[in-house]
Amino acid sequence: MESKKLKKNKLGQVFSTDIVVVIIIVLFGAIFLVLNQINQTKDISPEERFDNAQTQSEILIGSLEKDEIIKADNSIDVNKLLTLNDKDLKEELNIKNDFCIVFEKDGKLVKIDPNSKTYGIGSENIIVNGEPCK
Amino acid sequence: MLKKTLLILGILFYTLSISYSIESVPFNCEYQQTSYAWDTNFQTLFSTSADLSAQASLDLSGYYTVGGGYQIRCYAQNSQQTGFVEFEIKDKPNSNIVCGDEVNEIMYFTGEENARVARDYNSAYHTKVLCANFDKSDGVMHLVWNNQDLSVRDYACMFKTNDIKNGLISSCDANYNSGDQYLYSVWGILFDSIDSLNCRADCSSKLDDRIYSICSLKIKACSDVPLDCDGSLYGSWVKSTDARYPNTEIKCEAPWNNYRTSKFTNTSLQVTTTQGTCDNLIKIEKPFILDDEQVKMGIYVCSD
Repeated sequence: MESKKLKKNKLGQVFSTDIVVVIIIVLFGAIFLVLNQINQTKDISPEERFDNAQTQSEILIGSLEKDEIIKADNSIDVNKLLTLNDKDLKEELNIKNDFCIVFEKDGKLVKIDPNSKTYGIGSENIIVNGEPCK
Repeated sequence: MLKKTLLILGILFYTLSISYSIESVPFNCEYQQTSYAWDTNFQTLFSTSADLSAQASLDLSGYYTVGGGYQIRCYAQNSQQTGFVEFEIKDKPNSNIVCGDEVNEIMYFTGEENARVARDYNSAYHTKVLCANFDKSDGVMHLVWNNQDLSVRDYACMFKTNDIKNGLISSCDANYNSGDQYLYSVWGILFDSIDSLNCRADCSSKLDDRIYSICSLKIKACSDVPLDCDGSLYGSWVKSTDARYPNTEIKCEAPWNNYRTSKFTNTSLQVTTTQGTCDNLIKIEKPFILDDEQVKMGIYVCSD
């Protein structure tokens, strides 16, 4: 009777240790997979980043053309451009990244509206010659 | 019936082709060393000692014509394409017209040697005039003294100058150490006739909506057109070179006195982000036209 009880307890101990080892291995595996996934997300190649930026800029230009801010003769309607709101535009075009539209001539800054110090249209996180985009 | 229809269509096509194009005739200029292998149809306007910040010599048989001297020569065919416009230096002792007509007097000089150039005559300083000898029926020469690039519209660049009243002369492709040293390029075009421009009362052409000071031949008020607006679209803003209004733009429409602070700067474009908001700022750029100027639109995208 005594020896039967002992055998049952021993079996219980062995079983629980195995389960703990398996659980630890599974946990490690899961952590590895999650970390690997995160690393993969961070490791976007420069080409992919450029492609993303290009796609986003094309969407923006398409929208500016639709709203006749870029006219058929390739000229810009500055007054209409100044009415743009970057948050509304991002929402409307489903753009997640910050952007800023600027103008330059021969590498020199062209102020979109010198009086209101508007040098760029877009996210205020982007700074153009010391002034945040508007 | 078919013949009549074809005739009417032919007349209509001919009329339309006349009405919707500005007729100009071949005109080209070169600023080269005297020893350059010149095309024989190019005629000498005047000589200079160098191709950068030089004074003019009007004595074509003497000073600057040998050795390292330079010359400005132009090729200008008349509208019938039967001959060439002749350029000639004449004495101008007073305000009397000494060339064939007012429009034939194309620029003025302070003397025969070591001379400075001017767009408008001032009897206190100028003793010589450059005549472009041709009949009104042979065409109308339009010279524009401003800081725009008119080469895209078939104007020929004659030379650059730092001042329209008392200017030194440089070649059109001269490079300077400081950017704004020479504000003006002198551009020339030869129209068939003033009528071919179809000038409106506001001094713009019906054909391309651009402003032509030479419309003053038909409409006196067009002599008030500021030189910065010559060749620009009516109603557009252009950079002003008027020293009374530094760093400004002028609105190219009557009464020609509406100024605003200039969009165009001499400051290099610098784009950054607020700290920690973007590690990968990518620039995509495309050419567009802003205020009648060719510019690049840059879209900076935070591609994190």
